[in-house]
Amino acid sequence: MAESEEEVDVLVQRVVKDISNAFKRHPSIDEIGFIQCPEARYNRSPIVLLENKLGVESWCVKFLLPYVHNKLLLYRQRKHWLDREALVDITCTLLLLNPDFTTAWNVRKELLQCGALSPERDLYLGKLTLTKFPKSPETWIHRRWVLQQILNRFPAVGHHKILLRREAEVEVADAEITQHANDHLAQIILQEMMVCADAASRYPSNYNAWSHRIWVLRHMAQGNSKVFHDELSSLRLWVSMHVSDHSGFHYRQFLLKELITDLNLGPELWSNSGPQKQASSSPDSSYLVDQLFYQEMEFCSDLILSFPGHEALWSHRFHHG
Amino acid sequence: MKLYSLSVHYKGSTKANLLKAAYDLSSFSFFQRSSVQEFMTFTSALIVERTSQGTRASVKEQEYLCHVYVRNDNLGGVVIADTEYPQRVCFTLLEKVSKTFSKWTVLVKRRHTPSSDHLFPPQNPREADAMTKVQAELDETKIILHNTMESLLERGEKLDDLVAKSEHLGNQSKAFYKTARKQNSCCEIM
Repeated sequence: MAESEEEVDVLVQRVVKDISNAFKRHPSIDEIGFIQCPEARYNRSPIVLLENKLGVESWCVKFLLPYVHNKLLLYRQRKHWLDREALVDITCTLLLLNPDFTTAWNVRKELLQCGALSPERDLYLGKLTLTKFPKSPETWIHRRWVLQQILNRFPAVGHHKILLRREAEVEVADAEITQHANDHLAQIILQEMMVCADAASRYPSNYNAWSHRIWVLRHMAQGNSKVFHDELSSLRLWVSMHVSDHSGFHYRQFLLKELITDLNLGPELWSNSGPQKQASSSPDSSYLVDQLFYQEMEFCSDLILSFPGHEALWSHRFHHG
Repeated sequence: MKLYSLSVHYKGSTKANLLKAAYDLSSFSFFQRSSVQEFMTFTSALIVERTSQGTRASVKEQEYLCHVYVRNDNLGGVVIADTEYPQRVCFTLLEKVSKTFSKWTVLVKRRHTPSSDHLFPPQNPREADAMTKVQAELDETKIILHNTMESLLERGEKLDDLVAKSEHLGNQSKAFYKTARKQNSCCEIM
């Protein structure tokens, strides 16, 4: 069935608008997917919303994707003008169909930088594309860029996180801002952990998801051993249910290394009364290190006995040794 | 480590009749679930049809393992799981389900409605495996391994034809199968 260029134009614009409206009316959409549908039915929109899941009927993709793809390239080549709202809608549609189209993410970076788009919007879009494309490298890369933008706006966070603990030296009003920033940061970390866990569940040994998880902790939770401890314990169940996931166990090794480094450096980083020059490892920290090792070995051995024959488990045990 | 479906069939002379099934498709993409369920039903029925009485077998197909047990009285159970889920637990489960099912049919004849709450096993295999009495009997049993679905088919039989003829699969699922076959991969649209 040959479509004239005009018909395609009208159809595609309608679909892009349908997607945009779907998000406006249903802010709790949490998954995207394609619906196998070789032909259009009646005159209905190919955009389907069911139980907070957004579906795109497959028949329209062959019209939709090339069209929006070209539109964006023409804009980049300055051969065609698009206003901000159109750019947001078009890049959104494009990325839902193909999240590895770097140009689309880059256009969104520009929109973010000029204030036409909020960082949270892109984190949300990324979360959605990962439900269909859990490995998408460009999605993860863009996500880190957005998180870095958010971090840059924090008062003295990130590299200077240690300063936040010196509440006694800070005015009360500042302390409140600090507390607010800390809470916001904790929330972001939690959300990233959930996005990573979800993506890791959707694709086995999802290296990109786990690397991102490590990046988040390195950049947003330095010196915060509580986060590392929490991660270690909350991941026990997950790795038990994914015993052949090498990346999951590699992540546990990362957590342990960080905790042990922290412990070996001594408690000077945690003290509220300022840094003290302590011996690099006290008997207490040495005991804690041993405890961590022992618990992990026990956990690993238990899994090996319950589920024999998984290389990832033996590899983990080997690295642990 | 996932269990996707558990189904019980009656192995008739020419085909298998689905008696009861339970599914856990939460790990599949939302819009694919109905097709996935149909395919699991289709696959389970086909496996029961092609498995002889008194046999246990495991059939590997892509990243799924289908474990089947057909009793001498033609009651057949199929568990579809991923490759991490322990095979032994699946067979213990099939043994238990077959016994429970026999009890059910007796109850139904007596006009009691059995609860299907216990049909679906817990996802954590360590909970499902606390049936050590049954386990002891199974240790001695032989389990046939098939590397593909194709090895169950007869000479000249094609899976594509069976899919096209199947009453378990709706039109959408059949279309999905055709597209996936052409592209040689599942779940990719473009």
